[in-house]
Amino acid sequence: MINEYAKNASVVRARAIFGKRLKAENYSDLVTKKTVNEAAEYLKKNTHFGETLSNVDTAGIHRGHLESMLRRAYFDRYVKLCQFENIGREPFYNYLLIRFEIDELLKAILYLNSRHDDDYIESMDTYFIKQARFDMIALARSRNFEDMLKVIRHTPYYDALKKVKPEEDGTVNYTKCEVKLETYYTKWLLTTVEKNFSGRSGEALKKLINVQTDLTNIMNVYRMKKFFGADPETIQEYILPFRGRISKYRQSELFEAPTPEDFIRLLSDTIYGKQMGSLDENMDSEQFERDLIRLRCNLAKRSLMFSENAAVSLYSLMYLSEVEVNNVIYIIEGIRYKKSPKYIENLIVVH
Amino acid sequence: MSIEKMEFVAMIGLMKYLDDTLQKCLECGNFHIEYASKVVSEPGQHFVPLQEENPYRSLLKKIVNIPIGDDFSFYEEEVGDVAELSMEQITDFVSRTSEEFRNLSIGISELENKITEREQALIQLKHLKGMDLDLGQLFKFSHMVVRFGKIPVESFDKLDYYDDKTFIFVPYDDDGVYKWGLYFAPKENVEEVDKIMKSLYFEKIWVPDFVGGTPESEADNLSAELDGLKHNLNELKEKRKELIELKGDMLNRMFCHIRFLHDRFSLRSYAAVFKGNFYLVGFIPKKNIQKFKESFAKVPYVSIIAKPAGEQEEIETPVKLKNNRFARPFSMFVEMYGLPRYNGFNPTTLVAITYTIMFGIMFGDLGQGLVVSLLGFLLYKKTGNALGAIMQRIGISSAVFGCVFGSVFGFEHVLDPVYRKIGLEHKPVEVMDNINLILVSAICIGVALIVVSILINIYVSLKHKDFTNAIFGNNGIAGLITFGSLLAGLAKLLLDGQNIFTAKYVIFLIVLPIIIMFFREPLGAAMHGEKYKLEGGIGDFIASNFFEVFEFMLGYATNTLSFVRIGGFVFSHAGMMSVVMLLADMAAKGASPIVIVLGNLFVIGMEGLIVGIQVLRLEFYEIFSRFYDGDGCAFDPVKINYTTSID
Repeated sequence: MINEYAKNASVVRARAIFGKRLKAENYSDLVTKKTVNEAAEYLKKNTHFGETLSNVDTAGIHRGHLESMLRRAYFDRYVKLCQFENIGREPFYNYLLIRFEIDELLKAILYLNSRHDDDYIESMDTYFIKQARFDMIALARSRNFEDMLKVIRHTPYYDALKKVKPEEDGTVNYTKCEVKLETYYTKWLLTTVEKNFSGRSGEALKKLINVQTDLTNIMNVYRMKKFFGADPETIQEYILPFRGRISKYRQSELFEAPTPEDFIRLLSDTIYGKQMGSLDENMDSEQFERDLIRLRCNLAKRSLMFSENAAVSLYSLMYLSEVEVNNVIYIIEGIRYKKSPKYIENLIVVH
Repeated sequence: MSIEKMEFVAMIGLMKYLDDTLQKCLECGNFHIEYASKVVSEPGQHFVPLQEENPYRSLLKKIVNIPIGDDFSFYEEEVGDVAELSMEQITDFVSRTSEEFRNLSIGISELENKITEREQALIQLKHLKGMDLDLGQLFKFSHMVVRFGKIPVESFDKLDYYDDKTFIFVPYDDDGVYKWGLYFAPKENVEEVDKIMKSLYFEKIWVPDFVGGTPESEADNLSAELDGLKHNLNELKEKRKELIELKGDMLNRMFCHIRFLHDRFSLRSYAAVFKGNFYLVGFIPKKNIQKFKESFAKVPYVSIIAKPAGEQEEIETPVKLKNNRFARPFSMFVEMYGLPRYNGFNPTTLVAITYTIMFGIMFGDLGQGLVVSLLGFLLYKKTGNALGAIMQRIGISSAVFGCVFGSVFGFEHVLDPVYRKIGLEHKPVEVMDNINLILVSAICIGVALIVVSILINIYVSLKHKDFTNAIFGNNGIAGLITFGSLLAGLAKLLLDGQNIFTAKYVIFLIVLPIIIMFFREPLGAAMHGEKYKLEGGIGDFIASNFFEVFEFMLGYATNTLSFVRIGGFVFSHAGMMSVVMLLADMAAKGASPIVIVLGNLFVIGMEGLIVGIQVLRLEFYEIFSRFYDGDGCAFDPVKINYTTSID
């Protein structure tokens, strides 16, 4: 009983944290900043990031460091939520740590393929170095895919990646690795939810995961069609083998769409397309991707507002927080590369 | 009370008089401009939107970018003789002044950097105090380089990666975000190590290469140097102030002049042009149209055509609310929800009356009401904030209802002699003795407001020929009959014990209107002589309408009960004040007045805010939702934006 109350407290806490999110006016103020330092100062003085940046000297901060601090703020938020009333003891709450580990592995593969493996250490996020289940420094020292596999030998990622064969030039198929790791992640999420949650909580979590999988697939299929003109067989190979709220028939129809425009037209008839509202066959790909993110934000927001379950609240809040951090990072990069406020505003999704 | 009547104005003239025309529009202060291309985009009409580069933009940008500092900001003022100056003269003055300010600004910025650098060094020395080493020796290394600074803790964790490199980082302090320390590297490898440390966001901190000095003594030297630098900085800032005094006024007038020309030119993009003629459209309040037309007497070759707004389909008519003095501040709440459409209903007066009465009932206290009113008066006088004006009004309402409940700052019997003097035995309503009366009264207020909202909806919908909503909807005649009949029946049953729910009553006054609500869309279509298209099949129609009608019925009950909160807050207020009085009684004799004052302040602050929000909730959810869409667009007359932001 006490535990139930504790979880209710987490639900309320998650909503309260969401209330402190950056609002449209914060974004409008941020995009008009002339330098990264001004933006950092604004974040420190006017937003919830102030707590993380309180000891940071914003006058001399480097863009990379600021971005790393923002990502750390995101991680700290997750850790604090998990520590609150010890909800983090339940296996499901490890999901974000797994997400971070997978993101690091994929980043390492990307650097390995680009032959700039020495640069990976610079972009590595170390705030979870102590919690990670593999040696992150050893991962950064890997000079080929075999080395990398040795580092992750005792983790579930090894099983996911062991069958991927490097090419003759030493590179590995990044997309294949991504699909394998994402498949492992989604399977883990669904199994953990199945084992640990029942009734409405379980259903709500599964719904969130299904929506996430569907939207990831929609985005990937669209990119494959738009940029590579991929055929249905290739698409089938590179999508996540899960279906959420889209029927098998509708999914095949989408894969077989001859052009990206046809894809959008068919998508507009699906449950997601109807909720996106603004779909237009001639829209640019950035707009399309932003609309997908906006849709997921709306669904997450709804779950956060109406759910009485801590796991659903935390899962939704962390997604909304991720979008927020990404927004701020886009803005900082836009400022650094002297982009106009209008241009930057088009990159972000305000929720 | 209503919505300001507008005139749609179209102006056609020779291009060379476009600026004069725009000037008149700006001077009139009541002209809402629209893109002319919206009305001339029909095929066969050859007007095209005017697209030009704003020639004043670069000069305006130059002015606003002058590094004047924080002691000065531009403001609106008469430009005077500046209007006579040529663009070259203005540009020349701006360039020279900008150069002067820039030189000072560079000096200030260099000094500020030096000060920051030395302050950082002082911080570094403060951290070094914890380290027991001879700093003099560090700078005497001939094959080794030492760098002081700080590294983010995240980067510190990455140092293990560089185990094979010939350098060592020694931390000596940690503030949670940074590890403060120094690194040693051989001279021949220092470039590579510097590069590595830079990539890890190591921030080098300047430390004076003192020889043999201790951190303590060097900190003293630095403090003395800092004083000198700060003195120089103040001198430069003084010089900048003098320059502002000398040139600030002229610069500001130039800013206003160029801002005006820039903004006026920007308005040209609203025009459409064809063969040397321009076409401009917009809206102006009907009462100002004659004066507006007369102002064009001296502008040749410009024809003005005005017709009542609302007839043009291409552009939505903007809305300006017209309210009496009492209701005017409450338009803030209406605008918060959204403006009505041009031919819609302005609910401000209704909000003003209902909000004031409901707040007064829920927060009835003569003393506290007068305090709220006084605070509102001060707030409004100081800031012009509409909330202040609202507080003035609702405070008086509180005071009036305070007299009814006989409460003054929580003292429940202070007014008793007054009541006796006017012939009453005691206060008109003793809150805690009349719980049922207060709750039933609250519901009656709710019922009255719901009925009024439905009547407004019927009137507005009939005006728009929306028969579905006016006659067959839940907020239309059918809904009113159902709601009224149910309430009348229940009231009769509860008050007189008389059951009037006869078969005829139920069939004709309850069931039949419900069936009408169920079929409201087909019936509405029939009234318009249109054929109703069934989307999604008959099953879908039945299911969705069943649930909707069910929701309507549930809504009548919940919306009515929602008004119980009016009564609830009457008790809550009385309860809270009795707690304050209890605490005052329990406190020591001297502390009792303090407890009463603090308690009253707490109740005014907290309960006043909560009641304010709850009444607004009742307005928005229970009243507005019945007749109000709030999707009108605001009347926004063209004006010059005297700020430094440039689109």
